[in-house]
Amino acid sequence: MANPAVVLTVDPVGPKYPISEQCEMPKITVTAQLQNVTPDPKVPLQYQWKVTLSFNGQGCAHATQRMIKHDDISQVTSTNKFQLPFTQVRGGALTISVTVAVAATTLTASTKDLVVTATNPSVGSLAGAAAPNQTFRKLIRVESGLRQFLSDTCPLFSGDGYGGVGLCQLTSPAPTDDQIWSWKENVKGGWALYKQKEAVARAFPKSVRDGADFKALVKTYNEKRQAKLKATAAAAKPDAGTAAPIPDLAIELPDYTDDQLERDTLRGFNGYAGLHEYRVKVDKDGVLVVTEDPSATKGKAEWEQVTKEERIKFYDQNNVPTNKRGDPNYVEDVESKAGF
Amino acid sequence: MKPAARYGLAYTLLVAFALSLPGRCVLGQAATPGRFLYVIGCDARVDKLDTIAGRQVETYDLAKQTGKESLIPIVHGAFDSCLASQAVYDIKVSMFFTAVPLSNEPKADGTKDYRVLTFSVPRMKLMKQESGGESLDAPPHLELQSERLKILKPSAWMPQTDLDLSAYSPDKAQTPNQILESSGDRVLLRLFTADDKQLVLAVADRKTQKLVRLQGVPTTVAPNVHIVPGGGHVLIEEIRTGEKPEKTGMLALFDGVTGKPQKKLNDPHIRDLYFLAVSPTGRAVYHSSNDYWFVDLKMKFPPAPVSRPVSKGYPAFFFAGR
Repeated sequence: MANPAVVLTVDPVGPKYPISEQCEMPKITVTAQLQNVTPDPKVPLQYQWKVTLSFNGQGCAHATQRMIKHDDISQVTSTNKFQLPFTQVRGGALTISVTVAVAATTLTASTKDLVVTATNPSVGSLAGAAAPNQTFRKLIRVESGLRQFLSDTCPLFSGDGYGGVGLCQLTSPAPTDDQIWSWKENVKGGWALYKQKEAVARAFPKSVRDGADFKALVKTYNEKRQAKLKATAAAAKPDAGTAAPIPDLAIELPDYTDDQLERDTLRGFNGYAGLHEYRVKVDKDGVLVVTEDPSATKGKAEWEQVTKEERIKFYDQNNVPTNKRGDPNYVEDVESKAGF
Repeated sequence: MKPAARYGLAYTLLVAFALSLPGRCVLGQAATPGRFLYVIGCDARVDKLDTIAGRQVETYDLAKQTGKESLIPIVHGAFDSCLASQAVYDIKVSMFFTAVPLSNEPKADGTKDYRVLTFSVPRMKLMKQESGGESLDAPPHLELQSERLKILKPSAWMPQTDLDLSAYSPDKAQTPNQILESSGDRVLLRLFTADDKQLVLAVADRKTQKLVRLQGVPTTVAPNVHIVPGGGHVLIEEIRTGEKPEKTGMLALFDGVTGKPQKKLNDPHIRDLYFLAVSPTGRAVYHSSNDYWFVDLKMKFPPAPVSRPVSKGYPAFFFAGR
């Protein structure tokens, strides 16, 4: 006579169970069938279920050595059917085990080679979920080509090996497990980061205005201006004696325009590496460039976008290693892309 | 038997005392003042250069010098702001101070908290950590005042950018000017005149209250003029002006006392490199990232630091004897 056993059947049969395009975990029902044993009808059976779902990055390009798990599921049922109650969006190797005691025998069974797989969003789904900001959407195109996953079993990890992942290639702060397996969470995280960088960019002009470097530039500009005005006055009236003191020009450094704010935000998203997208414009001698008001009491300094060449020069001058610079052409790359 | 055990505490104390002496005799080896240039990059990496041998001799990652505590953010990929700002060297205790952010990511309002770390030289051992200020929109300014480190909020610090020349002979006139660099008692100035296209350079001696204009200055721009340690000379990089100014490779050394040209050198290598500093051992140090190049000026200078009111465009650095 054959040995008593419990056999698992899974519905659907698998072995691949895709997470839906809308980031819903697959609905999987497992059934345990007793074989070669007849349970005592007076003793209710208890099926102890254990489900593990884990991903270790093996076989995935540029994956870091990071184990991502769905919380283990342990549940006891009195019936032989069990629908897996996933509570997190995760992919990877799926194992379902059951243990059931029949009379004096404990029977166990486990599934093999099952895998929860991923589904990339369509552009339509992405458009429905991403914040309605075309710059941010173009950024997603540059970061990932609108892909969360490289294949149905692998998230899209950044080629630099730093664990950046998904649609927004979230890198720093390190992406959460949810942001790795749920494209919606990745986009949400990307947008939060974008807004955070926007706040930093918005605060930047004030920090420059309050800084010693700008104050020093203003002082020097006024020194230079004074020299010129004194000479002009002396030439006009050679016998006028000591000229009256020339008051300093009040020089304003404006806040960013909307376009400038957007570009500096993009730069921040990629990493400033010590240099914002804009800097205060100076001439070749390092003197502030100012547009003077006709009243001659105030003037306006201006922002200058840092070109790719100047950015590389700054990094070379400040010993910023190549792998810490980000993309010197990032802002232009994003702006040249199509929105969606 | 180990020497310390044989000679006991006295030997140990003697060795410890000798090692603590900055820039002096260490167990018979005389240190050359200002021989070594320490360059602190934006990513908190320190390159140690031997200016006499003309090569890089060591590299340290300050983030890995803080023991078990992670005091400098470890950043994967591009970082936000520099991970180390300023390097103030205290020759008396042979230590340097630098400001580091607590985290790479700024707070919601764009500010950061900072700490000031003290490292020994040359071992780069963390000696002390203290608060550098909270919720700052730029790193704090560090300054040695009366042999003590002062940590100033960026908004509370303003460099001196010009000199009142009304007491300086021969003109004793309040000529508008800009301090470009200074060292010792001498200050390298740009004098502003009626012709705002003309670059007029001068050296003011604070001690003697004398102002000397440089004569026969080659074509250049203000950022390419440098005072040497001690302020006795001025090094000028010749610039080919045009739409995009370019270095020609010609260097001219001027006497800071007479204002006259003293020496000319030509080194095509420097055309594509960035000026970093002149060492007390007489080398003009150039670089691009951590590729360094040394031009021997065949002179020696006092080991006095050079300060710049606006230090943008330069990594932090200092010279030390060891």
